[in-house]
Amino acid sequence: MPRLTSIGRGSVKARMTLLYGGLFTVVTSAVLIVVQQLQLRILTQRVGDIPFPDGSTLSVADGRADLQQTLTSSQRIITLIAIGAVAILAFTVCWWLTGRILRPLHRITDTARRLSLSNLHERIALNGPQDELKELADTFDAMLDRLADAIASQRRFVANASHELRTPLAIQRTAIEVGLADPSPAKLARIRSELLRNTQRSERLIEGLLALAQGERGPDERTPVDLTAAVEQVLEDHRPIAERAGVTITAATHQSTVAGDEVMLTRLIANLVHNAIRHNYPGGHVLIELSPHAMLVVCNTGPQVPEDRIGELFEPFRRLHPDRTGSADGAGLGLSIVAAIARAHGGGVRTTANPDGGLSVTVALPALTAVPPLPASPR
Amino acid sequence: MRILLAEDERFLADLVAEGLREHAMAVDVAYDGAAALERLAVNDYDVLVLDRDLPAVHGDDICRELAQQSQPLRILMLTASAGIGDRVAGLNMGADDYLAKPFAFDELVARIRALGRRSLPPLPPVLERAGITMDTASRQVYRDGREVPLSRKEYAVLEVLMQARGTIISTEQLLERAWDEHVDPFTTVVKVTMSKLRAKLGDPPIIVTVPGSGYRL
Repeated sequence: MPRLTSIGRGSVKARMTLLYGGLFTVVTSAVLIVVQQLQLRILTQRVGDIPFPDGSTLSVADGRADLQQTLTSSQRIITLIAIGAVAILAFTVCWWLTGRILRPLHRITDTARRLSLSNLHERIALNGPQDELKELADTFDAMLDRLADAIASQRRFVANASHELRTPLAIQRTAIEVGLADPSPAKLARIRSELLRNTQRSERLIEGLLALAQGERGPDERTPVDLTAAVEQVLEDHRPIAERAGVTITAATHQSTVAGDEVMLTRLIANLVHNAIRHNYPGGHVLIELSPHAMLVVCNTGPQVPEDRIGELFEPFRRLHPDRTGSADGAGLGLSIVAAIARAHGGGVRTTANPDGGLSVTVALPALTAVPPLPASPR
Repeated sequence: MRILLAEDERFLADLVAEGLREHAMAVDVAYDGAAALERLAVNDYDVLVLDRDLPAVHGDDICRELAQQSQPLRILMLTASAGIGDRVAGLNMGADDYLAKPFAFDELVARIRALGRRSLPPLPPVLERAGITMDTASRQVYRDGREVPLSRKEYAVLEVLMQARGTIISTEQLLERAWDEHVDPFTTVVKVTMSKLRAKLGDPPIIVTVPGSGYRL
């Protein structure tokens, strides 16, 4: 392979050398030939008028023809030698210059060939003038940055997922090994209820992971989904939970339709509403607004969230207030799922912390209602 | 042997503590990092079983702090972060051992015992002194080849005396190392356990009472 690649590598260089070297040689040769022809003409017309130092002119008829012959042939030889020299010089300089210009390209190729998952931190870091090649190298570096980020976040996700799956397993195993070794009826009842709770937690986690995977893959087919109806449905489902938590829900919805998967979009809304109720306090409230342009805002009262930690909320398994003890509620995937579903539907999520505690989450989805479906509409 | 178990999953912590007590260890439980630090400041422990993801104070911070204090305390990290990078990071942070969840309970016990032996000076797995042979792995005690059945507390008291290699152990030290934090410090429980232990070990008596100081084997 090294031979093949070296030929492949050299091909642009060879082509450019041939092109520019050839062009230069042809142009120079043409100029030289024209000059030679002009000189020849001058020679044949005017050689008889050449004055000699003693005042006489060369006018010997037979000697003149001889001299003309010698001069013409010697000039032709000189022109040919000049053309040869120019050709060699042009091709050599072109070969060398092209090599120099293309050298950064080799560096980019080498880096790209060397890179694998284990040394993704390497960069080309080309320095030199801001030309097209530098731009290519910088673009390549920027792409590597994004790739490294994506892989780091994926690794973090796998580590977190395995961490979350291992904890319930450890509890189950220890419960069997220690708790059930010599159980009394009372102990048995406690172990049973704890194991059940533990299993529910694992179920929720797996369900969340599946939802996240589906959300990231996006909907299989897109149908018009009535967001207004979805919001009302979610609110209906969450009223009992909100009542138990002592949280009032206010909703202001406008008719709005988007193209997407109804189950996923309902899940998105449900996750937002559920979070807003859960991270709240008794007597607090949740405000839900749906604009006609499919802009959904869920705003809630609750604990203060530092502005600089909002980004973390969207990392899978992040919980800002670590209250895992006893609460099997939520696997820490809620907002990650929301973001994945919104992205898959061509939308985006923006989150801001309210000055007096709680969050405002805005989900913008591409609306279908901008062009009303009625044919008789004025637009 | 006195153990502090720092683990935020209450049910798991209770189960592990219960299992370790079955193995004649005195176990205190802390459900978060702040409680663990508090107990570490008050009591002397032989081994700390530390979960990394603790609320209030993170397990890593506890580990780093203890490593700086260069205490005789041994740290066993018990966590769900099982990658090689996590293990290396944990050990580099100052942990003496690392066990990933889910774990086999017997392995946890064996590792805690191994760490307990690494106190200074190091102790062998089978202790021998004054005709008594104590196998710490199987928790069996023999006197002149005859097996002596002991309760968990009696075993724990005898283990402390055997590990002391003839130096005097005070009642307070016995309370510290063989009982957990729920014991009443003014109780006669040490005296009672000691007399039962003496009776079971039989004649001639080998545990000596040093008046005003404590006990010696």
